[in-house]
Amino acid sequence: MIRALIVLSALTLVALCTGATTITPLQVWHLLLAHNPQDFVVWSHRFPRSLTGILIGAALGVAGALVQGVIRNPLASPDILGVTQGAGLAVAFVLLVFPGVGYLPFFSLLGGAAGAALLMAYNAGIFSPVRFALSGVAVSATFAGVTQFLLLTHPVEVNTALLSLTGSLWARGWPHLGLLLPLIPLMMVAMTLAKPLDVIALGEDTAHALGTRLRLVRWAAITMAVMLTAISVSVAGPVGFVGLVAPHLARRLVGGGHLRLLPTAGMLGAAILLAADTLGRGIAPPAEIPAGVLTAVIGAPYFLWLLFRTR
Amino acid sequence: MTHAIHVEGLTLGYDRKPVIADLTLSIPAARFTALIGPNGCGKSTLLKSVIRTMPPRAGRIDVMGQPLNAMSARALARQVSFLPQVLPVPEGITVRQLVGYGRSPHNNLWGRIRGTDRAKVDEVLARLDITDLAGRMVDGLSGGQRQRVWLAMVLAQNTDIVLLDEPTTFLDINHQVELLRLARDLVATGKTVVAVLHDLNQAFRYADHIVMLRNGGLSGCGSPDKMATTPMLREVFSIDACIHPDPECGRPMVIVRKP
Repeated sequence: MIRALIVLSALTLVALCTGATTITPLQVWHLLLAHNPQDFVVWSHRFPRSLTGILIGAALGVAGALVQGVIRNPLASPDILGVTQGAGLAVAFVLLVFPGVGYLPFFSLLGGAAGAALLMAYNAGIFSPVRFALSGVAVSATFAGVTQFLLLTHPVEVNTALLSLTGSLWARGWPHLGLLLPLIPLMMVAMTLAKPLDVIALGEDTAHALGTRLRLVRWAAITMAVMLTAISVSVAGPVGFVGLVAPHLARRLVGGGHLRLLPTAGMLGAAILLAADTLGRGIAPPAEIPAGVLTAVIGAPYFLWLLFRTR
Repeated sequence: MTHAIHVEGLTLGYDRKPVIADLTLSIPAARFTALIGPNGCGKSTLLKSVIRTMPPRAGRIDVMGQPLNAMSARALARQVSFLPQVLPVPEGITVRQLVGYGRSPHNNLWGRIRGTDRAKVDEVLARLDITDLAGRMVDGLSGGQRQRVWLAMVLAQNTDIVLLDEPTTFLDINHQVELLRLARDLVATGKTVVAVLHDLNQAFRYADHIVMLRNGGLSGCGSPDKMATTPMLREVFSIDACIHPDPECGRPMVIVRKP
């Protein structure tokens, strides 16, 4: 857990130094202390953008750990559940068909919940990990397809929408941080599920026998994962695979106990998104590669490998 | 004799076909009860209904004289523990952690293992002679070791009623005997043990009370001497067997006749 925190802190420092103009850590320190609104590099740009990335990455990591824990399926994660793309579709729909309506986090939540509900209904009763993952990918692809269709049929509004839908932290700053603040209490509340999630890993019968209210825990965990993901999507757009990869890495680092797994997955999620964003900014400045593209480039092969390993 | 578990008019099952139909049955307190019967007769399902994995479609279940549906999940978990037949392999946790999970009905929201919990965990690890496994990962254990580690988890729960679903299936003969003796020890301390057993001779030798199920209904229940009869075995298992007192302690022993 401490190692994950060190990695995250180091990455944050790198994120603040790297970009179109590279500055030294010492300069970063001075600029941070200055709180100067005229400082367009660190205080107004890279610092809030990094905080946004940390919050979103952490939320996706925790959401992934919650979903994997409660569904007992290593292939599960909010993006595989259709939550990410469902939320993305809802955001695209509002931006393109009813521009200027606002309340994006609300609609994002609606779309994410609809995606999760659709997948849970399809898989009700039968619980095969591979069937679950494949149907989730299908649902996600459908949502993404409809999003593409909306983008293509609304050429005038497409620029603002693309900005919100590429899974990027570009131009995200102080105003967006306000929208992300609910993530902090949500992640803290998620920690209360640590003990029931540990017990659920022992199977349904044992979870019952140890006094876990299984339905309540499942419902709470999925709801929290949907909220965490949807709020993230409403700000950064769909960022894939962070919710899948971060909990896996966390499990390798700290084992299966959720009291340590949940915060570690959050920190690693934050580190992954921050690294992707920094890399995207640093490869060919001033042009940027969206963080969501980079997480997908790394995450998709990882997912295929997991699918291959799960028989 | 008081009843640890009493079911009345109980019907259990998934879709249209009930696994248990209109069953009325009592399990005596502070005794070792063996549930026997052919595969698919509803033994496991009956145990699962007591821990509420399997909600009844009709009828009622009482645990220690209290109706099951009036008990909170936590209150039930302090009275009844359960060893499942199929043991999942949780990833990335140690034996000590797993056994510690048995304390969850007794500890706080965070599942913190405190002094009394730790003492109980140490006690059951020592009781099952697996103290040296405590630091090992559960996913690296052999089948027999895993069975004993899970049993330790169930014992750490320290409940008055212990339900064991085929606890001997994956064990060597020496560990089977160890488990059955352990069940006797638990009963000697006033606990109620209910186990699904396949070996009739083990059931008749170690259990105080036999419940025979067939096709989701009760074929009979009572002491081993009363239940171990040729007609009973023919009815329940469709076998032709004679019964002799075993040479060691005179309990009924089943010997299948030549065809």
